[in-house]
Amino acid sequence: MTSRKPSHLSGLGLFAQALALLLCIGVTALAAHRYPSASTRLNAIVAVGYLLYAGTLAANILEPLKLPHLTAYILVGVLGGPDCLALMDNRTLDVLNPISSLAISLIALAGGLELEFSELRHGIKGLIWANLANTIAVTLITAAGFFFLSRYLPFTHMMSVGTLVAVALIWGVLSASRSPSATLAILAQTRARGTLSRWTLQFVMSSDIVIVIAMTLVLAVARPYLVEGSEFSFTRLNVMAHELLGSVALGVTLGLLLAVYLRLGGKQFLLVLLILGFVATDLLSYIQFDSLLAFLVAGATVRNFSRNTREFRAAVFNTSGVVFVVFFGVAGAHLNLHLLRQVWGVTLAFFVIRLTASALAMRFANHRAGEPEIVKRWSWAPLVSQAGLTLALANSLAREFPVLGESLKSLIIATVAMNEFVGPILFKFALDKTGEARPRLRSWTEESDAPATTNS
Amino acid sequence: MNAAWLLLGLLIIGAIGNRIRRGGRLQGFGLPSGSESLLLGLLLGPLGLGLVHTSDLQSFSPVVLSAVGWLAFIVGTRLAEPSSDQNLLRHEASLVSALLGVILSAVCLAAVSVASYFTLAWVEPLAKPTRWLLGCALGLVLAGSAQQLVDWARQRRGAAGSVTDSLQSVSMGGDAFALLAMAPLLAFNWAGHVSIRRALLATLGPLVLGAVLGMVGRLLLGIERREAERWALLLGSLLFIVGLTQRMGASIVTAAFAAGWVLGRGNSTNVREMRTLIAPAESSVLLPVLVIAGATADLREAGKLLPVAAAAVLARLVAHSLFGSLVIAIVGGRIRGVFGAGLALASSGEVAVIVAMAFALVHPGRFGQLVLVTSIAAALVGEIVAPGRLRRLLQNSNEAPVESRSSQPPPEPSPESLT
Repeated sequence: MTSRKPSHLSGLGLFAQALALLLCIGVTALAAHRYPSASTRLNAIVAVGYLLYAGTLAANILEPLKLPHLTAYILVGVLGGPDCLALMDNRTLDVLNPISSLAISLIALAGGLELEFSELRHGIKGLIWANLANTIAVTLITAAGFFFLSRYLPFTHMMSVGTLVAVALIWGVLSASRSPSATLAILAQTRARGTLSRWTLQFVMSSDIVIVIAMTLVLAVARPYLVEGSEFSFTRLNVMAHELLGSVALGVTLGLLLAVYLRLGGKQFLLVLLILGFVATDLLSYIQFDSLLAFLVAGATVRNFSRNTREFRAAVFNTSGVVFVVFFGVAGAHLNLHLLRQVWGVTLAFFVIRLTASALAMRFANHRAGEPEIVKRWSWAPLVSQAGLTLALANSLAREFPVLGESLKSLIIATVAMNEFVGPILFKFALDKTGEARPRLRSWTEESDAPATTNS
Repeated sequence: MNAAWLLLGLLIIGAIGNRIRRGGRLQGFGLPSGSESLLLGLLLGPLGLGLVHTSDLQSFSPVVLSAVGWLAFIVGTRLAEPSSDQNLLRHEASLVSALLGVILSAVCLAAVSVASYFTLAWVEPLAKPTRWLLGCALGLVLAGSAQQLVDWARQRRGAAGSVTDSLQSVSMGGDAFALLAMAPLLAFNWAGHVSIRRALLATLGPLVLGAVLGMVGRLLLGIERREAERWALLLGSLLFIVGLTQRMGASIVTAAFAAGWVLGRGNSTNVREMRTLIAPAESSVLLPVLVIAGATADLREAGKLLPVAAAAVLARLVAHSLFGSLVIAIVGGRIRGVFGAGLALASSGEVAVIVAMAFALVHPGRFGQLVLVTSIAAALVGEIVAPGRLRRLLQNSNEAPVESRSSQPPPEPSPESLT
């Protein structure tokens, strides 16, 4: 049997796409400089067009190098962003926030749709160990790293030891946060099936919740050291518990409604996804519930309480394929390259410490839980990526502690930039190596015709 | 109304549009020119219940612009489709009909422009160039005939035959004229001044941009086989075209139409797959745009220019009664009563409203409002006047069954007629 390259990967195909990419960048640059527009809304149209067009082409062009599509989307964003060719400014990028909301809801929903309770029950021991190791060991090791490297961070020089420990703990929790969006995007692109992908999905999604709780606890302890006159208080914990329980309850309700819709033979999936992504997210943010958690629970409810979810999952997959291009492109455009250039040395050190801490912690946890060899060997690879959750936590820190938060936020952004670039590449490398990545089909509906390779 | 609720409403309307287009119990449901959507918009907007505020609509302006471009793009692909009855160049007869449609549109443009020019002189002392430009804008918006009316006759009345096909080509010729002629109009400023550079840029810019990106799109769709990536490339190209032409101050609808035409030419597998991909998205987008058009219309802002709208609509009806009858006679329709038959082509809808929306978004204010209000008025008047005339014309030409009062369903339309 001969295997023929798909036409988008043939030499001629790649050449044509490279030319189209150059044309796209050239025309956008020309328009940005010859016909500047003060209207951010109009600029947003060109920005989305550029990200979709250039992102898709760049992903194809980089595919022979085995780089994930996500990296190409981020690169296209960086190239068009304010720090590089300035095809999009920060105000234009802010207009694209609703697309990020849609992406986050799709990411969470897709993640939930992959979670089967039977599998979760089977792997619960491993999940508990992994989350404990991640939250305690990674937090403490990276916090210690921060403490010892603080001499290279000017904003910590005037701090007392107590304050420095408090900031180091916050840094530690932030370092333990992972990226559900990058994980989902890589799994969607590679269509990976197997022990490592299942473990990664379950761990990254559950750690998202655990980290939010851990951050609230650490902030409750750290606040008296960071804000003069403030005392230790469990009030925030109360609010957080309310948010978490409310989000879970709403997620279950939403999931049951979706299950009923599927049961009644509903086929307007795009409409449902758009309503969830724009309208339901807006409502959730209005009542201050966590949309990521709510959609994750909704997805898991649908998966476990509905018989036929294949078509719905296909719709989520196809829609997210388009939305991810813009979402990660915007994330790339937001990266602060100037800052990264200034603090690259210390950022690199933090990157190495976090990677080592994650690898050691997961090795220990997976050994204790008796996970398969493939997980013990490769579980560090999916944990490098950082994106939305970490940046959201950094933003809330900057709001809560204006003096310290801005400096800390800049450092976080620089570190996230590095993790965001390297993480997806490492995860895809691991999936390729373990043989869990599968060839991409024309559309998800062809899935049933393709043999599923599992190594579990 | 909160923007999220407005979006929810528009999404649901889009889904209903999708059902109407794709078949099932809702196929062909609704008025031929989609006037019920316009009326719904009027009801929700500042003229009606005031549930939709201008600020809500402004936050949707990029989406509306993109939707308008998308619709023009789809009209382009449809006109280029070789197997379609609507293809302008399919065979000699349809080319002649399409040319007749272009001439009918040009006559309408002239009649409406002249009527608007003189009415404007009467209602407000505007400079001559401004009056001509506004008259031409109104004329362009009212130039086309709604091809959906012929679709409606096929789907709901079981119409089929050479006259039906010819009328479709006439309508599409008119639509192409309106979409293409928008480009030179936008070269002028309201004082009537235009430099050669500006004229070339506004006229040729959208055509060149649309054609180049259409060709590149064809090439890329030939290479890319995956559905999600195809969607990303198509949407990316379209948004690119819309954003760039808008920045140049040129015509979005012309550029998008040109891209659709270039991309939709031929009958290769890739082009057929592309058509299948985008087909369901037409009415999903169209109905929400019509609702937004209705909700955006503000008679108060158009103010004392409203008599101009009335004069424009009247001039269009007169032009259609006279010249439209001649066109129908040439394409072979059996006319009983010379003056009334041409009104069968007086329906106005999709293209008129999207051209008007594009114009109103480029020229916000009372001139833009006047153009938008006039397009809606023409659609509503056309809805009253045209369907009955068309039905009788097709019955006289033995291409539609004579109406009986029984509840018998219409004959099943052929698959080709549903494209």
